[in-house]
Amino acid sequence: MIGASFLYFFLPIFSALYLISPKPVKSRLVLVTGAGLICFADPMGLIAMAVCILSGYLFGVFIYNFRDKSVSKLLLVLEVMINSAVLLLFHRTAYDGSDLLAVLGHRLLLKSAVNVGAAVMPLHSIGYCVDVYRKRYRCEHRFIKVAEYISFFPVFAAGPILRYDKISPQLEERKTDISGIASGIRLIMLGMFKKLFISDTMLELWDDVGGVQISSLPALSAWIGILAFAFFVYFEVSAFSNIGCGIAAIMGFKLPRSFREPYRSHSFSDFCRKFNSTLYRWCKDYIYRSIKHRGSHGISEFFAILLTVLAACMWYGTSLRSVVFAAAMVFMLSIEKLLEKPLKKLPKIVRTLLFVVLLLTILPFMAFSDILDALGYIRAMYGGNQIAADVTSEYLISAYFLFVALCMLISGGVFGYVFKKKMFNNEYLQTIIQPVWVIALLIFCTAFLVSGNESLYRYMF
Amino acid sequence: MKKFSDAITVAAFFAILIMFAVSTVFFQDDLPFERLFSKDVNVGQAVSEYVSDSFPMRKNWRSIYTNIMVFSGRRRFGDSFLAGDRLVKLDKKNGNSKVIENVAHINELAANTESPIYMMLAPTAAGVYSADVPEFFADKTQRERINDAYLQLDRRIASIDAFYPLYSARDEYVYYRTENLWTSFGAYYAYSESTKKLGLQAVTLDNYDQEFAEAGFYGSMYDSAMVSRIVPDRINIFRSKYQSPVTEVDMFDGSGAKQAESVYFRSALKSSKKTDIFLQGDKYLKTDIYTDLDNDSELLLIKGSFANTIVPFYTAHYSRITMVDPKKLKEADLTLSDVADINEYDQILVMYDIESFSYADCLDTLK
Repeated sequence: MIGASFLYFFLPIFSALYLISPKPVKSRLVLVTGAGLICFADPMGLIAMAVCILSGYLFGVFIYNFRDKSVSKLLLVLEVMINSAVLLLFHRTAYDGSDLLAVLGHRLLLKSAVNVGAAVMPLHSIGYCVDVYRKRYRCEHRFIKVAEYISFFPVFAAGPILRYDKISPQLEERKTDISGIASGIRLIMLGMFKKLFISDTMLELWDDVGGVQISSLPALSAWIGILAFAFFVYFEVSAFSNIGCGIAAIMGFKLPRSFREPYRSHSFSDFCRKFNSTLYRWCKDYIYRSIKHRGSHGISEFFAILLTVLAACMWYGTSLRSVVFAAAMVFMLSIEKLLEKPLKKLPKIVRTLLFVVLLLTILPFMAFSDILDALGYIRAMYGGNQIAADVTSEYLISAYFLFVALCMLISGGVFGYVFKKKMFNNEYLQTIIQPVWVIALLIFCTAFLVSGNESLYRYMF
Repeated sequence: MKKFSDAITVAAFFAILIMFAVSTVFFQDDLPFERLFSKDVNVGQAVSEYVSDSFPMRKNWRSIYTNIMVFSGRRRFGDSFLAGDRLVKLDKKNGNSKVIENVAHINELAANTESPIYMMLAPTAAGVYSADVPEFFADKTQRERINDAYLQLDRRIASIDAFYPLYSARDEYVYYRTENLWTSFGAYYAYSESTKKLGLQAVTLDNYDQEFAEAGFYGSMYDSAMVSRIVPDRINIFRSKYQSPVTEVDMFDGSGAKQAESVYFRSALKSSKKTDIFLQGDKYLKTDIYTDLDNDSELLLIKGSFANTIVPFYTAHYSRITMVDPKKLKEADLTLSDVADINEYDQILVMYDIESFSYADCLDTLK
């Protein structure tokens, strides 16, 4: 969902059709558009859409009808298995271009590395059925409403993951007004800016560092590289999340924020809560709480954490690297739990710095498909190659300093601070600044969309 | 007041979107709409490419993009790199190099002929200006790659070192700033060096009049990086102070032949590829150049793109020069023996730039 065709054709045409459609048609339009987008990307994705919607709707009704019988549990297991299969088979990351079949050494199921919503629809479908099973709410008998929730296309790319009980009132009552549309436009432009200007550049920086043999990589270059990778992952996912929220805002929906300055976290558990928080809450509610029995600690809790973190990491791509990174995360979370008391005594800034250094240390496990490469990279970061810096490091600093500094400022929450403190609180000034800012970003993003190096547009999702 | 601001934002945003969308579809007539359906890619990709290629004011957008990038410190634009005041095309990295296979094809060619055979692998600007390009953009230096290729050549094949003369003259205008080719000056230095091996007496520069055929052109690399500080290129051609020896130029493509009387084609200056002024660039499969020299010396030139600029200098030494482009042979499903008898020639020269040679998959046509 990025490109000149999306911005200049899809967005105005869809917005116009949506806004002029009568209320009953809007849901169908969203459904048809979602199917159209999937078909446009890869028609095979329609299978995933159909399976998620039908299983979600039918199992939801069946589970509700058999709510007090043991068969409902069996139905829920079936629903989870079917949707997990869809997630594993259809969700693939373009970062290493793998899906489950590719990992097993077979042909890829989807032709191209495109987003067909397979990262989101199974989660919606499972979440809905589990909640019906837990009697959190009654099942919905209107097929269109369930189908629209499960295949809500604005969140196809990178969420946020929606909860049926939260989105249901908005599906009933869509409030489209000018301020919602304006805020949607601002979010879309912010997302595009993040993707085109920051995320793509960070990926290019990472590629540049990847061009140096690990055995001769200077420590400074290694740190710059892994920092770039960390920013790339964050800005890539949050950019698509922003764009999704923006489209939804134009449609009159207010979606939850998924990212709350995760690199300012002071611990790994804090990071899990702040990085893609809607996914975190989904995993916590439907995986962690299903495994961990009330009041139990120790082994049961450890396995619950292990599986939850593994599932969350696998969401970013079905590959061995996700499994290894999940293991490293669980190790860090365990150490953190053991040292909880002494760590709490440290000042927050020290804890944040410690967290960032440790996160960057384990991040090579996510960045490399080969564990030995990852270990070699970590060795280089800590001076194992006996080179602190060289001309490569100088080039990386001179070419990317501005981008890395901008990433640090954004991740460090400087812009958030400025908005929170209402430093530009003058109403007249805001009236002028807001449209100018949006148009400036539009020009900026158009220049990148039309001229950018297309080979760089490697989507994470 | 907030509502007013929001209304302006929405109105201005969608007005701009619609304006450019309408212009893309209805007012950019150089790209036919049918292209969407003629591509062998999925519809989504075809639509994205169509919109991107036919977007209004593409050059201006590109200029904004590259200038923002340069301002922020970036110097790499895809495979082009801003090295000082010029763009250089970066060498392919981790590519599937075919040097060994291609050298084997040249060795096989040498084994099938009695004529003396020579090989010149020229460096590109990325090789000569490697000091301005960070090391990690290349697996090996071009100097090393050329030497490696030469070491594998059959002893019958004489190698010609073009690297050293070009490297020594790197402060002069030996490569275009915006095109991945050498200039007439660069070609002249390589020509001078080659004459030592070919047994010729190089014609000195004072025997030529220099003509500026084009004073302000931007080459193909500039399309991907429109950096405003880059000075436009100029195309110089060297005309003999005495009468040109060239009497006839016969050019053959797959379908027919064309004739001309000069190795310079001024009509190319009106096209987008102005460097085609030299023998129409890489347009033809085979080109025969006849001169009024009566020494009966004939040269067969197996050529890559770099050869077009150097050939005008060789016309002072041979009565006939035949240029054959293996890439075009491959496209036409022909082999060298279908278009030329290698034993007819007094000398055979294989001339490529090292980067094209490393990845050429057409030299199996040299049979």
